[in-house]
Amino acid sequence: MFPSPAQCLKTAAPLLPQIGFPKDLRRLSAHGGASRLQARRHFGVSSCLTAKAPPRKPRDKVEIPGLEMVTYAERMHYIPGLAKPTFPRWERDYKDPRFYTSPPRPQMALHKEKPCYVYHQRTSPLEGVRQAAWLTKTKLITGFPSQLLSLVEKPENQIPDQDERVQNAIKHARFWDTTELRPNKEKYCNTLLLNLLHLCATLQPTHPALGRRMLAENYILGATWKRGEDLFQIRGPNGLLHSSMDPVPEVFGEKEVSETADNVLETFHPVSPTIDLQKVDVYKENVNCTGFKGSYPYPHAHTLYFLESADPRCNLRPEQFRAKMIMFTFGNALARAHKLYGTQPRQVLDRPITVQAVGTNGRIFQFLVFQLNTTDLSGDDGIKNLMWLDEDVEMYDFAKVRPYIKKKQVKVPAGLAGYKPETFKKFLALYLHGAV
Amino acid sequence: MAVACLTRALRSLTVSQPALLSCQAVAQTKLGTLSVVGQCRGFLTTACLEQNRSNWKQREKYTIRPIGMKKTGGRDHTGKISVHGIGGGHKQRYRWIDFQRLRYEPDQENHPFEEKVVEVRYDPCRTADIALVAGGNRKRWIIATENMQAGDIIKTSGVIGRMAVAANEGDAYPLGALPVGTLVNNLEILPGKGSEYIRAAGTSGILLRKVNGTAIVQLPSKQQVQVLETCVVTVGRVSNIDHNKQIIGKAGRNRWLGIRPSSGLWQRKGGWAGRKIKPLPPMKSYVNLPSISTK
Amino acid sequence: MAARTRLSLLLPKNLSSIRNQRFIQTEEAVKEPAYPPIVPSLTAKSKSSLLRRNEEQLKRIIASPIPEKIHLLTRIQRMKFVVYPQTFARNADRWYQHFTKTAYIPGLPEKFNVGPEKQAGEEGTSPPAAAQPAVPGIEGDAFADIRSLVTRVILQEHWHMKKRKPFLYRNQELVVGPFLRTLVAELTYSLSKYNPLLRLSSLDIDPQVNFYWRRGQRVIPKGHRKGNLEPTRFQIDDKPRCQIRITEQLPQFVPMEASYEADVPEIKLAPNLMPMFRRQYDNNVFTGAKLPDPACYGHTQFHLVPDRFHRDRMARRQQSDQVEVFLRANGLTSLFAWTGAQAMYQGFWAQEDVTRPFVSQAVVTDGHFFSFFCYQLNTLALSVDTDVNNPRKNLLWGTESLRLYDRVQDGEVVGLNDGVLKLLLQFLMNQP
Repeated sequence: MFPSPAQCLKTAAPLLPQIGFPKDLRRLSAHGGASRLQARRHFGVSSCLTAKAPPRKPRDKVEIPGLEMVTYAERMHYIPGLAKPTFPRWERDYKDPRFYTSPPRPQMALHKEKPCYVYHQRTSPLEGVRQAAWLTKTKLITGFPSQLLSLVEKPENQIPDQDERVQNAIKHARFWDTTELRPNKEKYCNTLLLNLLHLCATLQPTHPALGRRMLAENYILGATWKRGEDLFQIRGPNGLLHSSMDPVPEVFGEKEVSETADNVLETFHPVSPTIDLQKVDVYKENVNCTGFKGSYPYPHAHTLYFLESADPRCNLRPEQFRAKMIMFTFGNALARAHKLYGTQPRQVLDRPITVQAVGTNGRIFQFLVFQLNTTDLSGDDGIKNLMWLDEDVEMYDFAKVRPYIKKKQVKVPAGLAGYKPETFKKFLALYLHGAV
Repeated sequence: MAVACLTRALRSLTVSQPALLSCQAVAQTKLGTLSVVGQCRGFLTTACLEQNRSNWKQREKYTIRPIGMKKTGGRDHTGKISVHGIGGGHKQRYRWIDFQRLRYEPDQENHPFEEKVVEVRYDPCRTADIALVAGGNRKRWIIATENMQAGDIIKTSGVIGRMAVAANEGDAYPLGALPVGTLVNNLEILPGKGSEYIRAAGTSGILLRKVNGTAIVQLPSKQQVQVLETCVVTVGRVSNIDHNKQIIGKAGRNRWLGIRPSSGLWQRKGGWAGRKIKPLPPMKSYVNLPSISTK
Repeated sequence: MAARTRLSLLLPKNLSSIRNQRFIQTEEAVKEPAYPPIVPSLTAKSKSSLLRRNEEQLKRIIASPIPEKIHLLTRIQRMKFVVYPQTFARNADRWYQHFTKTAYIPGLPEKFNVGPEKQAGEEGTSPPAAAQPAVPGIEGDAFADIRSLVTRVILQEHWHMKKRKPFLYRNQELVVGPFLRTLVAELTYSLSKYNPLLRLSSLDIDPQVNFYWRRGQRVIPKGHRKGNLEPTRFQIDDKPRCQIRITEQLPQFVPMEASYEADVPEIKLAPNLMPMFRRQYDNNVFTGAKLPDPACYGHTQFHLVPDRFHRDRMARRQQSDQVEVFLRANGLTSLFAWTGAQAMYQGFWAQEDVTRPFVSQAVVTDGHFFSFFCYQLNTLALSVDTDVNNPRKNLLWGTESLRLYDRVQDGEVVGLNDGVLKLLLQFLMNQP
């Protein structure tokens, strides 16, 4: 932020603007009087007599090929009339990390002719869910799979005192977690999710298969695929991952999978589907990494948990947040598919890969179940992937520290108001899927 | 660095023969009587820091993100007021409007294209409303026309056909492709330069006639202008048509808009004041027609 | 004389009844005093009035419900010493022992040095093997499962997961922090089968624990209050990596009377020579959740040694002896704050001392080395007027740092120490 020494020196040296000087002289001479001829110091600080002149554009140097300019290089000193010599750029012969400048883009090692469109965790796609569905070649079904709901209705799959404990968890996240009056959004979002996960995990004694799961955070995902003419990549850290040793059972039957072949994807002309994706020329090809190397004991991604407040610099609207969920769930499934079946696109996978996702902003939840049926994404026809998306499910209406009073009437009381038990049942259903 | 600046500044205060700059020396020889008086100026004890005065305008890459602006208050680079009555007002962020409507995407030259209006919103920097349009791989801000709403599709084309196009409001065509008598706005007078005329709220120009290769448009001030027919205009009136019916209501509202009160000093009005009834100025032509007379 | 007798004859016949009535009246008058008790005034500018005001305040505090009580005790902000559990001060553990009246006992209480004879008393589901499981209730297979789980957690963080290289001096925060969190979470869930307390527990990540108390006094050296006595106030603001809070209280390790003989080091120097600095801000008493939370008792805390105090760095600064001191000080202050806050949540404070001991555990680790601490809070009466004739002392048991595993090599964990693992499991299995 400090001006360079050269600039500073320039500004400090009093430069008389050409226009200013005659005016001053005129003033001095107009008023006549011997007193005005005295030198007067100018101590005012509001206006500046030595303002910086607006920068003049340097004259364009024209290079005429074949014409050799006679410079004063050999003479070693300035000679009026001779041109200023230009010397070749000096490169250090050893490598010093403090003075390293990266080469220009076209000369970088990983530069490619064909650009690649990258989706990362700060991307906010314009068309939201429709764009994500097109990019991943998926058919969207709104709602929650009923077989999972029926799973939770059974009493042995419920937590003892479920409602009360969930309400305690919400109250802890929203009210009791801090010494101040109320915890801030980032904090309560995180705490609520962890509390709910803790509640679900206390079912482990009765469901031993839950012991074959592991939570992971801050892992870096990478997946590449081709869609139409363009190359797409999805990269970066996404959220909390719950992975398991066993694959997640499928949610859609074979009949529904084959029916998707007739389904037409929604397009949104004139907007192109690659809008808002970062276009890069320098990228590593065939990035396919589930986030774990070696023989990781929990290879199957079970559920992804997304928080709206995870990245404070990036505020996503609900539509864009859902699109992010879809894209990263797809990325995890695709990376796994590439690992299992190789990177060649396959029309139909022998065993479709299912990944679930839950996104929340502390009050409103979005549930997603994604099933990857095909890795052949270049064309618009053929078998498509399927997903269930349950949008905007509220867990509770209000969690107020002070009651909301309008015109001396309590509209919303203090504390937790409007708790809906179905939301936690859906959460638990997604958690227990595969372990029951 | 600061010490160096300070010493340099202080050196200007030396009473004994100061080292004058070349221009000063030249001036002094002209006015010999004043040679005794050196230009003795004080010094500011603060170094002139890099102001963001015009740095915020130096961005090269187009962006739809609003850019923080630095208000000048009517002052120029010397610090004196060059335009009176400007200052204060609500803070504003500049949204970079793309005035060159016919801007093709890098790999799709010369194809007419369509764009979708994503949102129409208020712009603090101008009287008209602006619209965020998205097409292909890019999004940009343009001046919204009267009935533009989110979800509309607008067309931009550079092709001049033999028949005049039935243009919808909000579309952009070259003047040669439009029927005579259409209301147009965002007129550019040199093809490809970007529109500089008819951008204010509720304004519109009228395409009067088309004459071999050029078109004549009447501006909102009734002045007529002759431009090449390849200049692109948008069709319709500019948005926010009730802007001129707005009543300010109080002095404070003017201050919010950044308009400072004018000087209260009664000043004798000269020949410039009063109503003038003059004939319209001759039509301005921005077309370099080949000179007919050659010697 | 005659007049007197005549006068007496003139007196009414029922003289005796009148006399009796007068006696009755005086007896009743003795029962009800005509004037209220004489006590010093409330508002006068005198020493006795000050004493009376303090007594009234004391009565008000004792009579109020618990949230009010805590609010009244922490209402007024004054300059106080801020005690940092993770401090660079030398020999901090002795200073902190003096401030919190804690005696340090090396090693762990007998509960954790359990031999085969204790096993029979527990609800061991399988026949106790001769030498094998030192953890009550967990037999060989389950122990092997947990062991493999722990290896998987270690490998996941350090080997399998692809993440960015940690920034300089942030290795602990970025690598070991998540590892500890995952380890605690997974172990809690696996052990909830054997420990029903953990099923109803609440696991906090990065909670806050605060405690405020008074100990000792000093004469104010300068200022308009010069010469007056002022109690020294302390505040602990701790942020453990994670903690487990439960709904029932853990049983005591030893009875309160056993602490009477323990010795607490006494330090005659002023606290700011430690170095410790004074600040004035909100006095907080917080266990990790506010009062209405049902899980108000503490079970185990897990602390992470930050990069600044990592033993490699200490070795480079030739302060290797301070490593153990640092761990002890950390365990001591964190646990004292936690148990003290738990006690205050139950309504005990300096004037109303605890009637039952409060017990909590802590594990301080830097990823490789684990130190285990157990704390029993026997007394909260640490201020000058309540510490007279108070034989009770608080007790801290602690171990030296024990290595859990040597290193991770080629996807394998080398040198996993079963003893340390067993100790960790015993800690988590602690239940009434």
